[in-house]
Amino acid sequence: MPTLSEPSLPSFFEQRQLSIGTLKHSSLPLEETTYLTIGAGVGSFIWVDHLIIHGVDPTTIVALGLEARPYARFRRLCRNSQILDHDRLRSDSGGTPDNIWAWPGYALREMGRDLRCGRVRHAARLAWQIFSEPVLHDPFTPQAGDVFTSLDREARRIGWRTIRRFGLARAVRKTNDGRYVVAYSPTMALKGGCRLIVARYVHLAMGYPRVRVLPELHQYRQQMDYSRHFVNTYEPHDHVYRRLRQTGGAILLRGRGITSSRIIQKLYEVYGHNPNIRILHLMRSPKPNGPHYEYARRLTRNHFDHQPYNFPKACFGGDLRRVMEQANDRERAELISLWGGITTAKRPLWERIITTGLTEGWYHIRFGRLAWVEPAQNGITVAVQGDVAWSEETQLRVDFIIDATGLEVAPERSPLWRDLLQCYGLPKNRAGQIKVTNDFEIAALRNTPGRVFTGGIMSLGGPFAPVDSFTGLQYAAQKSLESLIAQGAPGVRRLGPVRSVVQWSRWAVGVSP
Amino acid sequence: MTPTLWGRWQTRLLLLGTIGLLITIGFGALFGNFVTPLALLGYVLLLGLAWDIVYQALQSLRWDRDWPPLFMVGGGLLEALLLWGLIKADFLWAGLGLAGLPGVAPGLTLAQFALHYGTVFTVIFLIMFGPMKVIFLKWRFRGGQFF
Repeated sequence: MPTLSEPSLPSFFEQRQLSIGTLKHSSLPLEETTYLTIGAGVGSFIWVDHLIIHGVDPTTIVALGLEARPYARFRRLCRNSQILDHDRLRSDSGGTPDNIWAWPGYALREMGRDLRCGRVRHAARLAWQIFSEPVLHDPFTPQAGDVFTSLDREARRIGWRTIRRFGLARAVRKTNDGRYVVAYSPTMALKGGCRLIVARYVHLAMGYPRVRVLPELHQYRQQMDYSRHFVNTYEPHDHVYRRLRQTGGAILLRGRGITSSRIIQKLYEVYGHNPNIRILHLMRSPKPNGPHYEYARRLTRNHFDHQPYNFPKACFGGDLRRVMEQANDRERAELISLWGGITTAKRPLWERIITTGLTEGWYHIRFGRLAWVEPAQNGITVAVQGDVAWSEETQLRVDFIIDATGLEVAPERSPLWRDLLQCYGLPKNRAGQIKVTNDFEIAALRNTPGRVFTGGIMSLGGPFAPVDSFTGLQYAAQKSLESLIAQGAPGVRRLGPVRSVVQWSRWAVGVSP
Repeated sequence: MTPTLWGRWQTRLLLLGTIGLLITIGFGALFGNFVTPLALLGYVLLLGLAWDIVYQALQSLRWDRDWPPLFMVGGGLLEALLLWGLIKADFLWAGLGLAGLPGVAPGLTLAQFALHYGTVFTVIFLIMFGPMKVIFLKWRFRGGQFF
């Protein structure tokens, strides 16, 4: 029986290759385009921005997705994980999803705004920060709201409203004329039916499939309906902080990435109003030292791995980018694990909170795993199994479990990717994600002259390490554009120095490309 | 932009050979002597190729393998000091039977040197942080390399 999330597909979608004649004679509405991106989030937006700036006619591009604003989902995830518009993202000043040249960066733009508003001292402080980072100052990171505002401006400039189409993509198939057909629902409701869109070039950018729920807690959460006491940081969970502020309580926190750092900051703010708060930070194992690569070692403090961004800076464009591109599949998986992993940024405020919490005793770090969880009166009883020493089991009563271990990355968790994996047997890389070429093409889906590209988290373990970043999305878009230029795709023109400067000037004054 | 060694060399060659050359010609006209500023530019280029090997080795000691702006300025000052030291190392040139660093007028003052070197360095430093990314779209991803 079809469900809302996975409605039935037209019967001819059981085939691997569909005849364009069959599609035209079916009763389903059919339209054709040249470039189609699925997701309509930040990844899609960057790809479309690259296409238009490289000369493609916007009327030949369709972006299929559920939300009007390209950053809608990203903003929601930020908001849920306590990053409000005035908070700063973990992103470089030059990570500019609204600007393919990465200049001016957000630091320069913030300085300009400060100067216009007469905040000269703040502008000077920012200038010193970007000059001295990361040696004498922690690196500049943009305010989330500035990124969203800049995306709105660029969306208006390129006519995103006319490119974005509401639709839930359900399946992609090759056609017998070297293109692809995508079946999509034009509404969220099943009764909305199915429409077809045919395109020569398809870009898959649906992002993370969903919020991650740890296996040992998945069943508990399903059965006990205790989701208000056990929350993932990427879900709405403001009720936790409201309740803690009123009555205090004990929190078990999982995960030691940057999201957990932000959650600790939020809990510290609540602690300022109600000191009857205790945080138990459960980590799998101690981390006295960070990993090392050749002569360098990553900084580790209080069992947190520190690096400014999710990968070392040289992965974004220095020698480590080249190392990654030239590595084989196995080496790439090893490098991803070594350079990436679970890390947080070294921010003075966070370090001060951890040190204060440890000293004053309201923040504890414990090593082990959750053995079991049981509902208790107004809370949860958890059993923590130590992984070291005597493997002792401790039972604790907590008011909330906050899971900051992240989002689900496995392609199988997304219905569209799962369908593609099953239908075409797409190969995966050693990191468990979709295997792509150095141009971010999914070779197994090639249907000459048609091509399918992807990027973002689904291409992790591929030719570029920080794919899950604004710069990574730009890199993937640029590589796919190089591939399109090489094969003479319609409308795409090389962006040499002169055209690049002209296009940048148009961006600077805010006129359409 | 996080440079690779090839990127450092190619970017240095391009910027000194274009912007650096234009500014140097300007100083040549200002000082009434084209040979000395051009010779200095040549020395900055040649010595810089060796300096870049040192910078790259130091960069590999850092976990992020980056080269922050502060290091760039520090490197620029070191390069300037070495070059000025070579200009003033009369004992060295006398030992080699030379009147001084070849091509450099003996009367070159520190102010002239600092003005010329400082202008070339500052303009190139600012261009690297902005306009280069606009002119060469892929430059930042390739660690400063064009080829």
